[in-house]
Amino acid sequence: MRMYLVRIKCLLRNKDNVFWAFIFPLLLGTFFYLGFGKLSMDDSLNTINVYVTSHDKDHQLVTILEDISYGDGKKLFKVNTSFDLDQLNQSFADKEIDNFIYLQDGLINYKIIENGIEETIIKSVLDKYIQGEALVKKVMETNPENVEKVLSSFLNPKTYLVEATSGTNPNSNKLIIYFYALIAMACTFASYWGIGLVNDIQADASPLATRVNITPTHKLKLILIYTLAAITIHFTGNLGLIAYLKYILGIEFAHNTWLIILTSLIGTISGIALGAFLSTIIKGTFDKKSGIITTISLLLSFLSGLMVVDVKYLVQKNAPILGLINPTNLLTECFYSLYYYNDIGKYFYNLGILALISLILIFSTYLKMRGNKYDSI
Amino acid sequence: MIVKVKNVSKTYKNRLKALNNLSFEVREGEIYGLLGPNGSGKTTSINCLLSLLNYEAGEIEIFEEKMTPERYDIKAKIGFVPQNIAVFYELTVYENIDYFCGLYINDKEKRKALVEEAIDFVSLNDYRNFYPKKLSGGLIRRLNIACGIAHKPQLVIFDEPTVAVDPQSRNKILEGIVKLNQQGATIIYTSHYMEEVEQICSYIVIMDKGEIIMHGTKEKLKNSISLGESCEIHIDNPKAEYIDLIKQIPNVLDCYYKDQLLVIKSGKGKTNIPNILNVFTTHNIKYGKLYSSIPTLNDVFLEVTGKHLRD
Ligand SMILES: Nc1ncnc2c1ncn2[C@@H]1O[C@H](COP(=O)(O)OP(=O)(O)OP(=O)(O)O)[C@@H](O)[C@H]1O
Ligand SMILES: [Mg+2]
Repeated sequence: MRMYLVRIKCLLRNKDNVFWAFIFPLLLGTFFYLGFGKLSMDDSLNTINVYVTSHDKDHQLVTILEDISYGDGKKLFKVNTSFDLDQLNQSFADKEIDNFIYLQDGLINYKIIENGIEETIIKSVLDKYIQGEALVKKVMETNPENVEKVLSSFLNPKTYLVEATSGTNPNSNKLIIYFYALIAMACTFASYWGIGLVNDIQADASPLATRVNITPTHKLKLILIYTLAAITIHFTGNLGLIAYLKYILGIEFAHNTWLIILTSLIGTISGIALGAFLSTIIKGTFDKKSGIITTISLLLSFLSGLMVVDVKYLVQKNAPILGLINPTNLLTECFYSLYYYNDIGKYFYNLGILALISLILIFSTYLKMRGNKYDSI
Repeated sequence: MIVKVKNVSKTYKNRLKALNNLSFEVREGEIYGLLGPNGSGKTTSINCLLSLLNYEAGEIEIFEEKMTPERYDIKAKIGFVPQNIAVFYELTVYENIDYFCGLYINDKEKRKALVEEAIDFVSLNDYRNFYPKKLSGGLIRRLNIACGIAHKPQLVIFDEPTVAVDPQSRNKILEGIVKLNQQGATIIYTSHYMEEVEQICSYIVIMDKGEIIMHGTKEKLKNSISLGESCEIHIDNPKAEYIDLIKQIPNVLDCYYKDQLLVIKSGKGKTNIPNILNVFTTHNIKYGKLYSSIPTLNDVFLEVTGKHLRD
């Protein structure tokens, strides 16, 4: 316990550590938020311009579109009805507008350039409306007092947003997932602590480690205490990040925050374990180790699709084993399970593998260091 | 026997043979000096002794038992002051000593007393709340020492604790080591400063190129060489014939002129000074101050290896 507290004190008094654990993730989060956060957050979504031909401006659809709001009075759509069909066709062809709606033989038609989240939303609203129109009509005939209920059930903007961002097409929904990716990256950074840990324990790594090695403290005890201290600090940093994302930047994680916190805890442990294990293999100075391990972490992130989403699917298709032993990939799988597939079983499966790998790595680290004499110090 | 090193050889990866069939034994209560020039293998022997380094041949016993990295019970009785500073830069002087002491001693009260004693011992009382960065080279060396000895080990190993230390700190350190020894600790002390080793060590081993070239008490070492006395005399440009004259005095081993000084080495036996001065007066040679000294360990080293301990 005393060693644990002293270790924490040591780590916290190091300015580099504090920066990497606490400040850097927040900076990254802010950067992400400023970069593309605006697009993805439902409460920061802009009102979307839709165009309906002037001829159809009294249609029920227009009223309904104008009715849909985010709930705080802000409207989802601004319906523009000042142009006729020919004008809209022309503008659409000239790419001045990217959607318009018109009626033909009493049926709703639309043209949309599909290239982003806004279009996806319009499309799903219209699809819902078209599907629901018959239903609404029937309800109006049989028991008109329930119309409101029926309408609101499929015109709730939240439903569209979730659908729009969680369809099966990975291209259309990279948005909120970036913040999951951010948390995954923050966990991967924990490998940095692994290096420090080994550097302070492995006799040939530093004078301090040499000294610790001639004390009667058991190696396993040292490793566990130092790991625990690193976990404590890094995990606290992660909690800060999650709280910052959630409460300051107002990012809404679609799922249970506790599961996200649990994931980030296991993720932190796996990061530290990986960093420590690699440090025992790589010979050289702290800087050399940290260079190599950073490269490896980036590579793992890349293979998990944190930079280019498609890479993840390529790996999944061609080398599934690689995905299964890549801690970063398992971590993103956990988040994807929560977010895309909404599959708790799959989530715990991935989390379980990740925890297992972490344990194996920590134990291997111990085995590597146990009873070791070195060739050179 | 506290430490027993038998036929240990160590070759580094770069094929450099750092220790060549090294053997020595340290008895209880000794201040055992390992003296040797830079690169002679002192640190390597210590690191092998502590089971930090691999060695391809030989056996090492401490407290009559085979030493391995997992003999935590043996480690508990050893104190080590490494050549390189090994302290936490994030902890203050007090916290550092307390941390390392705590790796040996669990009892809080007992530890507190020991840490205070160690701080006193290295006279760092005024600096107890300083961070190592704020300490001068000499002070940080003293902290390095305190961290290694606070738990009152039976065997303390010092690896060149006085390198880059001001004379005042150095004397404090040496006094401290003698005091530890008087309190019952056996000491192994490595250095390339012969004056230090001569001053405090009860038994001396002289190393060169990974081998022991001589060992014994300092008196024994000095008696084992032919040199008995060196004289140095201030003099202005002596003629070569005078130097030849001096060389002819019986029992003079060597005579040369260097840095305004005439150096005369004589063998063991009665002092040669009257004979030398006799030559000066008969030839009316003017001379200044005269120093005479008995052999140093450097002379021992010089005679055995043909080179100086320090260059
Ligand atoms: N890690 C290493 N790898 C390769 N060679 C080494 C290593 N450490 C020391 N050596 C070499 O082994 C020899 C003995 O070195 P060692 O450090 O034991 O000497 P030393 O007597 O302690 O010297 P010093 O007085 O400078 O501390 C030297 O020639 C040195 O260059
Ligand atoms: Mg040395």
